[in-house]
Amino acid sequence: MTEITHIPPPLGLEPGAHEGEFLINMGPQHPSTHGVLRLVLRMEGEVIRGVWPVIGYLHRNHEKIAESRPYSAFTMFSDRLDYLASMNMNLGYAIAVERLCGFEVPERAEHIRVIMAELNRIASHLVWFGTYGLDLGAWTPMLFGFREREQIIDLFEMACGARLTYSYIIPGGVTEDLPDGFVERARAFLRMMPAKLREYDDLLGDNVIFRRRVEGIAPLDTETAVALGVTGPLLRATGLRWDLRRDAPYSIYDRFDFEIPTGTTGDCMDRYTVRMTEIRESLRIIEQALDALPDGPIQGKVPRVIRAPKDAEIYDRTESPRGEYGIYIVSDGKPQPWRLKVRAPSFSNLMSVAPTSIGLKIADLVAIVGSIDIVMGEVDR
Amino acid sequence: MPLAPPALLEAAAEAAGPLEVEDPAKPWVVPPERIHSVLAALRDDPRLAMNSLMNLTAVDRPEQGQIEIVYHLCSLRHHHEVAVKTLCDRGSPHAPTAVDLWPAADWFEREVFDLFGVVFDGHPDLRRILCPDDWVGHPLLRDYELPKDVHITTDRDD
Repeated sequence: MTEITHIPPPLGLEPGAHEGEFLINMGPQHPSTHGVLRLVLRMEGEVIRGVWPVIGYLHRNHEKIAESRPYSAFTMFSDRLDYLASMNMNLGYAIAVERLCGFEVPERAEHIRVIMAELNRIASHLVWFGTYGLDLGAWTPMLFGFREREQIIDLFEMACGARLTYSYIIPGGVTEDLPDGFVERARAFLRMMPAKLREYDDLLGDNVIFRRRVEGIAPLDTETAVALGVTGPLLRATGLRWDLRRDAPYSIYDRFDFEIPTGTTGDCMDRYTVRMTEIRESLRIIEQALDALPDGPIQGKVPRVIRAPKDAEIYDRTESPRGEYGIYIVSDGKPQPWRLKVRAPSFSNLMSVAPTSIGLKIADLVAIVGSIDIVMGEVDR
Repeated sequence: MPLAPPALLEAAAEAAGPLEVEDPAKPWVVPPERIHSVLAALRDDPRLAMNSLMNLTAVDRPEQGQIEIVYHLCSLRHHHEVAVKTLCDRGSPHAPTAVDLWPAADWFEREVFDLFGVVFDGHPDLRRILCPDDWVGHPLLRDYELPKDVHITTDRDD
């Protein structure tokens, strides 16, 4: 386990700093910080000696908002946490409310939820694939990734009318049944995708320039990653086979047959490989869910005004494309939660930037921040 | 092998001394002076091996005059999980830091400090994290009054 050094306050150069060190500011408006992340860097020439991530530029305090809204209204806010995977955000919140209040979900709705969540996982990884190429100077991956993502977004639009913030998965089920033609289009997408994945590897994954930028950069061992609270593809890239869909199954994931890809060193290349393999596994899950899709109702019995039991609380976690997405709800028996906390995977994953980037060159920092796949909407909440 | 809540409590009591818990399936409430040693025992005992701090947050309880600090722990080795709580006085909230046990606590504690005003003694870098550094008050306290005049205006006439 590498030692994790905490950077002492105050932020900046302490007295007696090495001569030739200086501070530079990266972001909050910077093409490779994916939103409004600011990094204060302590440099010695081109070598990084310290990193202070500064976050909060997108802070809206969803948790305070939730305290004054009925339970059903927070679905709309969960869309805006990780806006690249709104289905997964909806799903995590819906499951937390259902477990807290004891709602049943019909079989058909469970299958639709899995299909949507896995489609959104693919869409999210495709955005990452495109923007990561863009970060490292390759323009075309963005066009390729967004081309296939567009088809997923079209499917979502068919189902719920929205293209980014869906509010489709709600406590008790889903809002609309699948429209005519959805299953056929989804199957066509599944048939088309494997060839595209080979294309992505030809374009980026096997590209010598790309590999030289990412191989061996920012290796992370499992023990350090766990101690830092790192989850999701970053944790699996370190070699730990840990995925909440299998290790703490929710919804109906225990019925499907899928592999959990892992890496070995946890470097940026492993993170790429893990995400690309996850797309393949998500395709398998969707196929099985489409095959098993039963008929029936799409919404269980949920009262118009949801009231959780008095003095109950729950911490429920699901696997979002970025890692462990937790919802903690404390109820006092009123129609609004007394306290709602969102444990966002990007928030904890972002903490791994500082310990892994010290001693590397500034150009590598772009590769590291990109490989974490942060969404500032859920970091800042 | 994952342990069920009663077995977890038994193992924890052996490692950290007796714990007064009514229902082991609900969050265990530990007095503030013992919380750090209980957390350390939960992490270090090989039967428990809670190597992951999944979540750390706080809940305001103004009618009791207290703030609850909640730790959600999980063992990635044994696949079991537990929630532990401690209480601190709402007037001058203090709690011992858990950064020395799990570095993951760093930003979680900064967030609780920012939004609840709880001071984590021993934290190496306790600054606001989500709100601006010059923000007044702690927004997630239940009696926090939303400021009426924080909107940014581009109207330059005044």
